Amino acid sequence: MRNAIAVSAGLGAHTLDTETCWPANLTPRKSGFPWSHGHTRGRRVDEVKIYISGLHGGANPSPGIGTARSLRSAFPRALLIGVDYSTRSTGIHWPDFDRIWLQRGWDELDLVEYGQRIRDLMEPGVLWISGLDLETVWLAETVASACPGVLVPPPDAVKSVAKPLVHGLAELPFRRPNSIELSGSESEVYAFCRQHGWPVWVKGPYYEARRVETWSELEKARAGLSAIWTSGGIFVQEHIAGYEESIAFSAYRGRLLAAVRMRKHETTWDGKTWAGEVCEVDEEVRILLAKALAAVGWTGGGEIELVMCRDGTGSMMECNPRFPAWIYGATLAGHNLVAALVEAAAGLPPANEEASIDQFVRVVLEVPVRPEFPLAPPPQPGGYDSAETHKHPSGMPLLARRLGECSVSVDPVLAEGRGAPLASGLVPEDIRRLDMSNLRTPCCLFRAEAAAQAFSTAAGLRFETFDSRGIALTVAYSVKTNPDPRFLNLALEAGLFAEAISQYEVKKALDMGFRCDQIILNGPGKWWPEIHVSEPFYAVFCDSLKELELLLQRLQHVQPPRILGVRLRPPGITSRFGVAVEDYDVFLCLAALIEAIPSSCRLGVHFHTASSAIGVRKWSWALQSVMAWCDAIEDVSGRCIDCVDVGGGWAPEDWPAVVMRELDRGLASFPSRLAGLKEVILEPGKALVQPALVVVTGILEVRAVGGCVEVVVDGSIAELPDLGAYPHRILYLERATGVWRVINRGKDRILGRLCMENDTLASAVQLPESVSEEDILLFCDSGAYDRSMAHDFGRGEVRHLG
Amino acid sequence: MTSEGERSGTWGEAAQQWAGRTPVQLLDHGRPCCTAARAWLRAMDWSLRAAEPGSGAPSWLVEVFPWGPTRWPLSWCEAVQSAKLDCGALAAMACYMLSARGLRVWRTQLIQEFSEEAVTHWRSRWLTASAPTDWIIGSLIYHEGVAVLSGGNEIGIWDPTHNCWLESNHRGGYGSTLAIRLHAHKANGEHVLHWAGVGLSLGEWQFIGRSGYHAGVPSGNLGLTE
Repeated sequence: MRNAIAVSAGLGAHTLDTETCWPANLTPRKSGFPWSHGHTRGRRVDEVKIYISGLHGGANPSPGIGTARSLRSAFPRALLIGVDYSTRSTGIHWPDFDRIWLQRGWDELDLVEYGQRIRDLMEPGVLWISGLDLETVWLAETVASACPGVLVPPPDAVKSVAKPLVHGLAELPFRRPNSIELSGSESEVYAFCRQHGWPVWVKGPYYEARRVETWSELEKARAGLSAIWTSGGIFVQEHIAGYEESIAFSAYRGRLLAAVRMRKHETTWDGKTWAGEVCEVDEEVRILLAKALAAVGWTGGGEIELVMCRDGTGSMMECNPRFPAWIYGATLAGHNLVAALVEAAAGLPPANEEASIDQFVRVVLEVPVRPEFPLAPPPQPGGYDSAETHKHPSGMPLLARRLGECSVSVDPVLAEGRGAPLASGLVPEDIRRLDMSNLRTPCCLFRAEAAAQAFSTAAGLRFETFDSRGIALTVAYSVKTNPDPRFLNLALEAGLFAEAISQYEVKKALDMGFRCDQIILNGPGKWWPEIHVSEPFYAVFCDSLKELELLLQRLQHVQPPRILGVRLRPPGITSRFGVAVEDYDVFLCLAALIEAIPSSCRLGVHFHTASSAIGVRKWSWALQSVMAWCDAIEDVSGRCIDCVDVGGGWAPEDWPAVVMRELDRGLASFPSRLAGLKEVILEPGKALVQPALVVVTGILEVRAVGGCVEVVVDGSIAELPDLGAYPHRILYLERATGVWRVINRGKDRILGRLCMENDTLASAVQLPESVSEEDILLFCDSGAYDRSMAHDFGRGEVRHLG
Repeated sequence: MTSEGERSGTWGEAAQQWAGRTPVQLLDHGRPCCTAARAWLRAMDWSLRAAEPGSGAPSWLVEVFPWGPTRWPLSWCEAVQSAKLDCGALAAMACYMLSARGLRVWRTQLIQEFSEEAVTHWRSRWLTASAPTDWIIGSLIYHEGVAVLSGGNEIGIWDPTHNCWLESNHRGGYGSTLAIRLHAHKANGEHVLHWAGVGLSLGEWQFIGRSGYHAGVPSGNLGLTE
């Protein structure tokens, strides 16, 4: 039971207690004061004044209302003053606030003057509990040291929980998710995304997280967050799936006062708590948390966000330096963390709580608008800032920008330097040696050495696991990736096979010197257009049951391929291709057709999903999943699968080491299965040719735009249609001097020549100060689909069909 | 919710009717049809468990086979072609797949409480489908899940029907578990497993409802013995 205590806190000339921020001559007195809620006993605190900021009560709520409700529950007569920065912050109308101290927006406020006003307010006995992350940071840096009543962590404590590392809580028994700062090179960030797989999260240093599924989405999220976090600190974090939990805590001058754990039972689309269950914090965690908070002298509330797995392991996603918005749920469960903080600050003895419930839900309530703060006019339709205003009515993006502009450091450790490299490494030596003197741009340069090296490596691939199991390895170049004869010649000379998706590609391969028994057919249109080929192909993988059925009928009249099989579409992989075996009837039908494949044909299964698009982790799982289906097919059809054909889509950086590692892992997952497997076919395309071509563009015009530079080049998305799929290294050649530069990140833009809004080749880059129409920009890594899917838009031509 | 008096009366009837009940079993025809069904289930589980990292259970099952009336007896090959499956069929499949993952599992029988409105609705659904309604008595229902050993003697109880791990502290009110039995073919009651602090003897019905929740119901096994 909470003791009924009343505190007389008349504010006159007082001596400040050095251990609390309370006037030493004010002694709390006990008094019975039952509170109607039943879960606590309220205490009278006459004239105590507590400022509470962060009042928004919308879908992205701040903790102000929960803080006020918790305080009102413990101190029914306390004077609670709500602080916010916009009348759009709905919590200013919450009835527990005795007064509202509404400030102008952060973009208008004179931060120095505002800091002084807060200092003036902070008389002995007056407290301030901040519910806004960035206000907390700002108060910690500029106000709190002079005002013990401002209950925020010291600056070093705030830095100790800075995202993404949260190094101050490293001792807690939770894994910290992998992350990479966006100040790293593009290639490093892209490698991170591939390694961990999509989705990943792009996060601001104090709040705001955006889930992204592709590289182009990442670029958009980066641009959006960069506009808010002008001083940097944006990072990418791996996605962790599991059950969401939080630990809320309250500490005063390094002493942990209380902590609770909350399991989220319901969340909003944004992941905000909508229902939860409150329980005790494990003793081990409590001890380690107390130690960590003591080390940094933490004052105020805090919230550790966790994702827990079923096996009890957890990941610490972040730590917010304020109470969570659900804090009143903890109060309902008998853990009034806010009251504990005020008690500690006021020197009151901690009160016992009575828990009547351990679960809470949130509901939407209508409350009357305070007459003195009538509603702001509705946002104008299409207003450019309406979304931001409604998500952050307390104006945190505005404060973020202000802090980025002024001397207050958001976090110097994380500050993202301008001019960070787009890619690691220098200008490749073979590109430097290319003759750039008489180029007619836009044009494409062939990196012969890089291409030769790539095909030579593919030809020499050896794999111990395969050797030990007697499995042959065949590498087939994916013709569709780039049917450039130079690549096809290299493939032929290296002894690679050719993988074709149409009869045009078959003809091209035959013309280049490949034999039919060196050609593998894949895809839904592999027989189009009809071309007579007398010899059997090496392998044919059907894309549907119908195709397999028809092919089996045709085999009565033509020679079968050496390997005949199907492309599988395993459940969980989004694709339009292959046989969808998750349909049981389809699975049975497939098994029946496989039984009908002549014994003269070896049985194969094809699987293709681009690891560069879905990430290596997911790709590896998909590969293992396909092997599980192979096992099932063998069980049901009674046929041994002789060949597994793995389509390409690997990033050059992952080829061949990562691919082979994951293949090894896949085979190791099924040591007793696929006993009849005799051959694995790999079909690299972009891994071999992507780095081997460079698109060279000339600068048509240099424009100065608001302190930045925009250049229009004679290249466009017509020459670089795959630009958004992965980062391309960009080089700059100053023709007059022959000086090469690697283009880094900045504020400038490279625009294409097309009269199309989306023809932006690069945004957020840093062009040289000497940028001129005489110079050229080179887009590397353009040898794959950029080249094969390039089109003629804007050249006054229409491609002839048929 | 029912009144205390109704509860105790209902409980006696439930205890009498469900005490000797064993978990339902899917039949195996011993022919390729059922071999194919199980092979397909294993492969599905391999593929789709990636979609549930952190959960550790076949969450996909009820997405593919929504809960609904099932006519028994039912074989594996019929089950995988059913549009809907009841809790027993779902539990049998979940048990098979979790076992195929290498986990130690036990079929689990549960008595849960819902509201009059809920059971009336279910009774109507089952009658319309000409399926038996003997799993409903008053506001109590007989239900099946799977206990999964998570380490040591600790178990979690997966409810494939509701696609969730049961909460051991949910022991009263709508959807709460009042009694539980971990099924074992050769159980002598000496082997005790722990479910988040609740000790459960293999093979024995155990009342776990909130203390005093069921007026007139004795503590312990409540007479739910075979």
